Amino acid sequence: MGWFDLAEVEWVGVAVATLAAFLVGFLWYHPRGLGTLWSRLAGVDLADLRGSAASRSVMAVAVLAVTAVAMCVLQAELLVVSIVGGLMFGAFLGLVWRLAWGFLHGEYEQRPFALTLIDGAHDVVALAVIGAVLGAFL
Amino acid sequence: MDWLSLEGVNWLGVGLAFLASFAFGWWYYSPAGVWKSWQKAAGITREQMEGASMGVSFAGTIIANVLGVILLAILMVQLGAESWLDGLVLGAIIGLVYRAGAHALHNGFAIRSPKVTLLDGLHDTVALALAGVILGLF
Repeated sequence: MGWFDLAEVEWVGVAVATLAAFLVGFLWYHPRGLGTLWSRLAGVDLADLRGSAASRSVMAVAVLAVTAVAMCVLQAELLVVSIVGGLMFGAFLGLVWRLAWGFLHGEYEQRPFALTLIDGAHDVVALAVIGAVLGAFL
Repeated sequence: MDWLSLEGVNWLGVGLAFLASFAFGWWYYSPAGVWKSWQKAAGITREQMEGASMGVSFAGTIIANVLGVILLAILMVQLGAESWLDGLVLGAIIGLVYRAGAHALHNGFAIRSPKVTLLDGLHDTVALALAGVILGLF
């Protein structure tokens, strides 16, 4: 398994990519972004989330950090070492494994189509940002 | 986008990997699998399922699975991940990071049952690992 090498991980890039993706999520789901529409579609009261914002944010950072590490391993091995290349790489993976597979689960769980679209599109943008940042660091 | 190439992809392997992951999903979400636990955790009633458009759900499942397996095959070829063990590890990593991670993130903020995250994340991870094993054999 020569393709899996954590020694290739650019840790500063991973940290910056994680923060950038978190910022994307913050803006995306902010009430002035798509947060109000999202909360209506998801049936979630934003006030209920405020009480547990810290723990949910820690969880989000952890998930984004692990995602950035995995993307860094893949991009280093595939020589995706430019901003545009990383952007396209992240967006492509997001389109297939986040947006398309998100529809799969959203359909069976009978979530509103718009909700799946908001979440899936967020993931495509977030992964594109992670890829672009890592591309700049690699 | 040099990594995005269909060269070297074994289409028989892709076909069988798709069938295996689709069959696994069929069994997994059946009454013989985790259906009852999942249905209860997701809060989906039998009436809701009967009223849903299963054709759309099925078509979405097939399209998402096919795209996911093709992208996994492309990455395996480009990474030189040629054995069944390589496929198992890569598929499991992709499943854990891109799918289970997405479930944790979105279900966490939408205050859905952690059991849904666990069951759906496990399904996606095993389905992609299984597809990776078969692709590695070809």
